[in-house]
Amino acid sequence: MQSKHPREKDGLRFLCITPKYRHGAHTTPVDLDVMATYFGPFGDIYRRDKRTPWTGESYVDINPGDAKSLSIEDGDYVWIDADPQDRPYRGAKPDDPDYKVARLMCRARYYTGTPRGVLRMWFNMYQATHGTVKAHETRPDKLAKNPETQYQAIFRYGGHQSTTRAWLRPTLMTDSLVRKDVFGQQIGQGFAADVHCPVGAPKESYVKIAKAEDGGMDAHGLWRPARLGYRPTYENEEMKKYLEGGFIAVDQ
Amino acid sequence: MRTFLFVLVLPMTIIIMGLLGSGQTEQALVAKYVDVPVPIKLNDPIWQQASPLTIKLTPQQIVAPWGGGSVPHIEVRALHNGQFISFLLSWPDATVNQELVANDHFSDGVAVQFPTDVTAIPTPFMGDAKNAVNIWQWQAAWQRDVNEGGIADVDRTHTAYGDIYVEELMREKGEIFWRPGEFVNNWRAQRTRVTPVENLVALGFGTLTHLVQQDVYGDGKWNTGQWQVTVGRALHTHLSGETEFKPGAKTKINVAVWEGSVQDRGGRKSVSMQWHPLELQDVTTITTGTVSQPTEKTNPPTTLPEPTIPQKAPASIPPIVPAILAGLGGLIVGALIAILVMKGLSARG
Amino acid sequence: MATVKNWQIQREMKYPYEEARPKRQFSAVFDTNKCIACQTCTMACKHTWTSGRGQEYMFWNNVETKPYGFYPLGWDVKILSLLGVNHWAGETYQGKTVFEAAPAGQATQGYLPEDMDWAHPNIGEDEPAGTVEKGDFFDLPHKIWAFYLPRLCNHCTYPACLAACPRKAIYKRQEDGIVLVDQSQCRGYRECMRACPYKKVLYNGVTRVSEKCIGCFPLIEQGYQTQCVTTCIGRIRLNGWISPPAKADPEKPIDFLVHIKQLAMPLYPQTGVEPNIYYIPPVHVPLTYLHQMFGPKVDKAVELYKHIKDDEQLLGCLTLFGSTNRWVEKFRVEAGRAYGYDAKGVEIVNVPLREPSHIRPFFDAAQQAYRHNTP
Repeated sequence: MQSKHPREKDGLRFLCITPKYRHGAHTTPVDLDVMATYFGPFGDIYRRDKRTPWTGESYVDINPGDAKSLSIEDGDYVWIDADPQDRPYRGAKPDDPDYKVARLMCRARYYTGTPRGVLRMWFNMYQATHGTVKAHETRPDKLAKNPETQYQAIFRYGGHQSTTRAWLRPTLMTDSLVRKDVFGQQIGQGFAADVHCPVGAPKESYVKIAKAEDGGMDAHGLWRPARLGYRPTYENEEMKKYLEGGFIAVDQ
Repeated sequence: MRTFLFVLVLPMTIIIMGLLGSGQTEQALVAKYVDVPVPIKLNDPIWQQASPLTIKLTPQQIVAPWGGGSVPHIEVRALHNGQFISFLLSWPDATVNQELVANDHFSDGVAVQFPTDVTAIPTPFMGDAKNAVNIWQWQAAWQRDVNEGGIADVDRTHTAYGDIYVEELMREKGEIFWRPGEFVNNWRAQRTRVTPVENLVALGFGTLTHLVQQDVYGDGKWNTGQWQVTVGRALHTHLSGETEFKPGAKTKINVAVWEGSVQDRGGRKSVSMQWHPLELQDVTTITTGTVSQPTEKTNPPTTLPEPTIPQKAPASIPPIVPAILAGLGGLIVGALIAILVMKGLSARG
Repeated sequence: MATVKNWQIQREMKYPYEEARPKRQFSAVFDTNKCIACQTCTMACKHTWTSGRGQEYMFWNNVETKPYGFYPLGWDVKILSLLGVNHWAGETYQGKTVFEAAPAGQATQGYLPEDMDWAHPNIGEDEPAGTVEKGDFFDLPHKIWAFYLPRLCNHCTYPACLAACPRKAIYKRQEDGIVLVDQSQCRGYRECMRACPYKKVLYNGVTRVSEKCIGCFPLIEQGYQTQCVTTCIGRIRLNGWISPPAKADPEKPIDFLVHIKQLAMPLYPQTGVEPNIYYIPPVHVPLTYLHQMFGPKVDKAVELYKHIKDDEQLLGCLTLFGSTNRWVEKFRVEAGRAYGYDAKGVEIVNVPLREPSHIRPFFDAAQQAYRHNTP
């Protein structure tokens, strides 16, 4: 408990976990437009805030106390960055054309159930690519859809894997290792990406988070539900009364 | 002294009664006869020949839902050519409300109302169970539909970024799966709109009914703070529910206005609390074969030049003046009666 | 204005039309203790009924997390606030219904949502009331809590939407109490949208008239339960007919749960509309919040549910949830099994109260081998 992460001096102090959500296996919860509107709090089938990449978008859960200490409001867009040595990719520099494609931006949601020092994002979302970023930046409606392949991203920039680093178990990832391929029934040998057990779960995502844009329509002010007082820590008087059950008294 | 008072009181009484009477006499809307093709365009200079009637409007507070009251008055003009009649309606409106896409969008609108049967005139408020009214309702949203080529395509502010509409895969079969309003041919839902005016009949509150025959034409334009709308129809249709117009004869007209920006719709409207007489001038010359008929599809020009008719109502005695005179008259009469009584008393005393 | 009897608030109240209960009343019970907000019901309804133009934002069925979830935004905070602070004396509601609280010249108290209120249908998902502090642990009720509230049109006995429509474009079917918007008669005034306390009438911006849940009446007419009920993978829902309390039949599952056992209760009964979707309340949520949502009978329901394993009849009835897609007219529980019957009295389903289980011995004598669990 006494040792510090070597990158903490650079501002990295959050553990960013990316579990999969109960709403579906892998990417299925965002495969459909209507399901994407239900996947989290930022869905809008009409995309009235044109910044949103699709009918729903990725978001990070953050403890409200942590958020306020960093001046991040509920609904704001944020940047999430990990060890710059190899994330979002090895040798990344801010003025690379690839940098903005890979650097993670998403919405922040105040979630009181998140412990302090932890961020949580869902794994299930389609990440940004060069094609989707170009579309997002050049289309008048800013839809993040690759015009050539029709691939639809649910991130404006980057993805939940922009900050994740897997640790390959050296005892298993030898060139002579015999293992099944990722798809099908072929047996192969040596290193293969995304083959579970050798590659799999052990990963690290130690990050810093910073505000990128206001959550309000067209980047002005608070996201509407926070402004109107229906969000945790922003509750208006009626919402507070409602939470306490204050509109009804029962005389026994 | 008594002779003097008699000479003063009697004429004063007559004058005062006359003024009071004029305050109650309804100013009629006269539809002048003109020998021109109808429909008459909004900006046609011939409208200057029509005598406008300014109708004061009040909020609707007779039946729930109450509302309206933001439009203080409307100006009505009418012209006919012996075969068709045209009305020009102008009222102040700071904003254009012509969208109906979102659930909080409401359209600007105006309606004129006539007794279906001029011998059986109901209350001025949408008819009653025994006596029908014929209503022509214009809405800014329908005007926009017509202006934009007749297709009420609505994905303007609300483009949905859905993947597919299954019903559009089935388009060749001509089936509508999920738009029940359109499936039952509700007039509000029609995708190809050819007229911005709906022809309706009513037998009291809540009974407004679309008529099978849609034979009313119209056109509307907004010009910096004012709507101008023309509506019109053939004088004689002999169709159920519809009113008849006769040159030389009298009938009634009433009017209502909806202001979209304050969520007016249905009963939430600015209304006039009384019928107004409508008189069609007699036909003084008979025209032969030169009168144009409105086509089935109204084809309003897509851009109208600025209107040349005056923007303000021409000067007329505002209703307040007779009221003031009546008030003064009342004071004078009262004072004279008091003097007479005093005289009488002092005579007795 | 007529005077009608509302059994949910145990008194008379004013309504624009005479009391006219349908021959049978469409109803359902939802067990909030089992809902996991998978949204299968939401998607089933969406793909069946609201996949057309103008319907994109509509979810006739939705599931919202309470307390931070809403569709539309803040709907219940707003209607509670418009009604003000009210109270129950015993089981009688002493406060104002939406009809009694109507401002001058309006049919009901209510408000018309703004366009953006309909965005973000799953706002507040999984968000709890309260914060987790170091050292917190769980007790009942939970210090921090959330639950899922699946909702649809309540097909009310005294619908506010029907009362508010100046054109009588909304009607209630005599045969099953389902409330519908007449698509020919509607002119899109949206008085119904303003009036419905639950905001379950929705405007179609393409057809410019309004729509709502139709109770899957084409299925009901054929003897099936609704899409949202039959697709529920958690088996938390059951359709059925509900009778007025004086006619409650213990063999009818909804009557049994609502009137006899008093385990399921209506949503915000104080609105006065007599809503006909009933909820088994979540047992881990503070009672102050539950009183506001379900009324005074919630305390006993929570206690009953905690001891449900001791009540075979009740347990059996709940086991029928999700056991069939056919409408269960009557039910019976006997000797560890629950039976469902159709309107003709023919058995359509039977389920055991306890799943049969066998435990095999670790050593298989015939094979002279040990059994192992190999993942």
